[in-house]
Amino acid sequence: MIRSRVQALSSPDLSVCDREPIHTPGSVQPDGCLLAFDRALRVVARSQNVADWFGPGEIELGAAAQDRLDDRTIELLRRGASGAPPGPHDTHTSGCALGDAPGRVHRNSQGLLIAEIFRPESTMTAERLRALGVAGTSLMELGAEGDDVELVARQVSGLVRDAIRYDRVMVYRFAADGAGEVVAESRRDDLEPFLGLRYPASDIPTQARELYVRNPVRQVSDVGGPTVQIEVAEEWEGGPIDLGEAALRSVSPVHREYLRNMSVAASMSVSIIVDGRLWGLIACHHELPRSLPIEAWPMVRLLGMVASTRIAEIEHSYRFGGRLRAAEVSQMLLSRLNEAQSLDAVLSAGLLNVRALIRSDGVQISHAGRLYADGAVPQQAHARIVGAMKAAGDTSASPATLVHAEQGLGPGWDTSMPGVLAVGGDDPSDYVAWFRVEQARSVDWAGDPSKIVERVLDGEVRLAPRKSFAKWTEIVRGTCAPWSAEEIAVAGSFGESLRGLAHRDVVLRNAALRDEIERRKRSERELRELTRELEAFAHAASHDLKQPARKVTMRLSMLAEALGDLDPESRRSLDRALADAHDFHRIINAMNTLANSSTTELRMGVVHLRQIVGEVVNECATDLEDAGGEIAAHDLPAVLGDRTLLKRVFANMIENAIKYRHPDRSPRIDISASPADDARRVCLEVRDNGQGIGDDQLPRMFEAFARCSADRSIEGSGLGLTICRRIIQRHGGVVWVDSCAGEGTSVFFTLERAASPPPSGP
Amino acid sequence: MLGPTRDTLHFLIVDDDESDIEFVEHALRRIGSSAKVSSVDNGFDALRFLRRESPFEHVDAVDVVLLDISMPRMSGHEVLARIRGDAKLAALPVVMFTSSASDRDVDRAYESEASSYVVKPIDVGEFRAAIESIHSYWSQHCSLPPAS
Repeated sequence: MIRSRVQALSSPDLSVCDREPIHTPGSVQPDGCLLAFDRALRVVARSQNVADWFGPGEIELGAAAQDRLDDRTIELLRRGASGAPPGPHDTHTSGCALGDAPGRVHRNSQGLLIAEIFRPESTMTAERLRALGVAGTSLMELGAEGDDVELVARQVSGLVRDAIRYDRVMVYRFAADGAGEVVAESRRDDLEPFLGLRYPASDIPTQARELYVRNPVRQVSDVGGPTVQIEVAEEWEGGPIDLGEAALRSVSPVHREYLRNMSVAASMSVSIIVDGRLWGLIACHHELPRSLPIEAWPMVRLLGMVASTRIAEIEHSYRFGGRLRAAEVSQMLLSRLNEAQSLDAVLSAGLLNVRALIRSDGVQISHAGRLYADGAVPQQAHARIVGAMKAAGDTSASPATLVHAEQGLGPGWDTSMPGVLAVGGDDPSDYVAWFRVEQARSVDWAGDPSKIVERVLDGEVRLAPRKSFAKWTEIVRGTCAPWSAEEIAVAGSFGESLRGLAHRDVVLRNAALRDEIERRKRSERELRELTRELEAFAHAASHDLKQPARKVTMRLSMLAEALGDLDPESRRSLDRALADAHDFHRIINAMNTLANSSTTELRMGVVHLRQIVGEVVNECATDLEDAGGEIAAHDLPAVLGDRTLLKRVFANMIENAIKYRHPDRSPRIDISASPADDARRVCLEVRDNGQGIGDDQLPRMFEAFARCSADRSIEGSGLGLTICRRIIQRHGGVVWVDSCAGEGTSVFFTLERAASPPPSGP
Repeated sequence: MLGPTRDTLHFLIVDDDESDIEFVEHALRRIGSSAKVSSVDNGFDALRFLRRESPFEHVDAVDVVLLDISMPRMSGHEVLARIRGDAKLAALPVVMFTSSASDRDVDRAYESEASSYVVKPIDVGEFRAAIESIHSYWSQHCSLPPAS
């Protein structure tokens, strides 16, 4: 008994095309018949036209295959049952039991063996098969030269059309959003060109794209032809038969209408798959019913694979070529950094190279709080990018954060530069960003894409294929040329390098810092050593020179006395020699004092400044009296210091004040104390009303032998203030001078306060 | 051999520089002094001389010592300290006669009870004046009856 039922037809007006179960249409195209067997090789389903091949009543649902099919076909089925895994494969074969009828066997996702048997009259001639082989070979050979996807696409469309002679062969490329664009076309001259047209994603819905991956060759031989229903055995519980990989699978009514609206009677498409993703299709249209015999399919599939390989090759070389350039630029920056340039200088100098990595109108690098920019940068880009980096970084586990937009980052973004591609580092405020200006461009759609969705009577939104494919042009504004996957990969790769660069910089800077500290320590040690040596030398030299200088002077003066009357010239000469000898002696003595001030051990104690100033005043009483001067000391405190050396300081200063007094007035010296910035110290001031020193001379006052007075007749060693400074420095104090030419000089210096109060009484 | 009298002072010059001894003798001659001048060039001989130790058993008693500071082996400061530390010599007038004007030396000399500190002048006139004042001061001082 034959029990059969006709599998329910899908509704012709599906509410949403994406949900249409196009892999289980329940019917096949009439180019062949289809049988489905379970694992026991019992017939589970058959197309209603099996009688055309096997004769009426020969193939019954539920019957075992061996009852009806010859041994060779059974063997074929067995092999298919054991060997072929489920999923996308092409276990085509030929030679069923029926003479020359070609066949094809595959296992579907339900574990059923699907056998398809075609009409012998559709068998392909050897000549046309050869043409397809030639097309594939040519495409491979051309591959050596081409490096441009669109060029390859043009070669593909031309070669395929030559081989299969359809009216129109297009290469169709999918964008990331599923919309497609015709990138190459070969057509009959009288046909309207489709090149450059775009098709919205809904034209080839998601599940159709998925089927194109599973089953890379697809043919519709007659859009207007009948379909043949599939009968399923009642015992079968597995639901509608999955015909996803069946060559004969019938076309969805929506697609059928779509093709009819385009005046296409037959179509054939071959998938172009790059990196496991449906990159595009080789889409062939014919105005009349047409089919490519099943023997030719492997050839066509091979052609698709050659095209896929070539396109993948080009895309990879784009990507890896870009990455190679990114690596080269990184290497260049790194080597500059290693050549001891600062990262700051390296980034500034390398900016042009960084910009050139990606086709852009501007670039900006943000690193360690500094911005480096070249070309155009949108206003307020920095804050937006940092914000986007933070947001993206929170959701990404990867250390490199990529942000890219073709319409700006949020509302208010500079609309003249909507393109931004940024890759961040560990810190969201460190990034490199490329920018692109707005590119107002026209997009040609194949028909108005907004007219795809129609509202039907019952109020449900339904999708119906549009009727017009006339070019419909849309102007897109506020958008830049899209960032390609290659460019995004290059940015990511360069971002990684930049992080490496920053890390290297930190390592180098730490090393440089260590070296610098080491170097300074060494210089300080050397300087101290040198200073000690110089002081020792000065001490020894001044000590050893002191006695000869003194004795030469003494003997000269004895000679001058002994010689008595001399001719004036000899007398002048002798007097000059005596004066020079005195100078010599004085300088040597001062040097000796300076050397002693530097080398003699400090004997620290409480020093009552009032006392030592009193002593100095007494000691120079004669000179002071001669000059008619007076000294006033005001509230001088007790300090910590070496009494002898501090007395030398006051003696030198008072001596200077008397020596460099103003010619028109008697000298007046005021010695006073005031609080210093550091509370532990006291600031002393020795102020006179003498000649004063001009601003130009002030900085040199403490230099050895820098005598600032123009008056050469004044005796001086030029070391008095140098000695004072040395002594004060050795006490940890500082000394400075304030002076006004013609008015007087104030010498200031700081000393450490003694804790004890000054003694009472004189 | 005449014993020392208060009219003829006996100077002991302790100085390692022969020139300085010459300068002092020259100055004394020029001021018409009849003072006797002895000299040694180091501190050890100076102490032996003052103590009349070998080889100075027969020298005359010294009235005034002119003591240089900077000398090899034993400095003038050390010699002064030993004189002041020797009961027999402690009262002896010791004039520091040195080229050093260093505050440190001056302070230290007076701390060690130098009788006076005179920086050697470098002008013949001043030198003579210095020697003259030393001579006249100590002539008077030494004419007084010794303190009991």
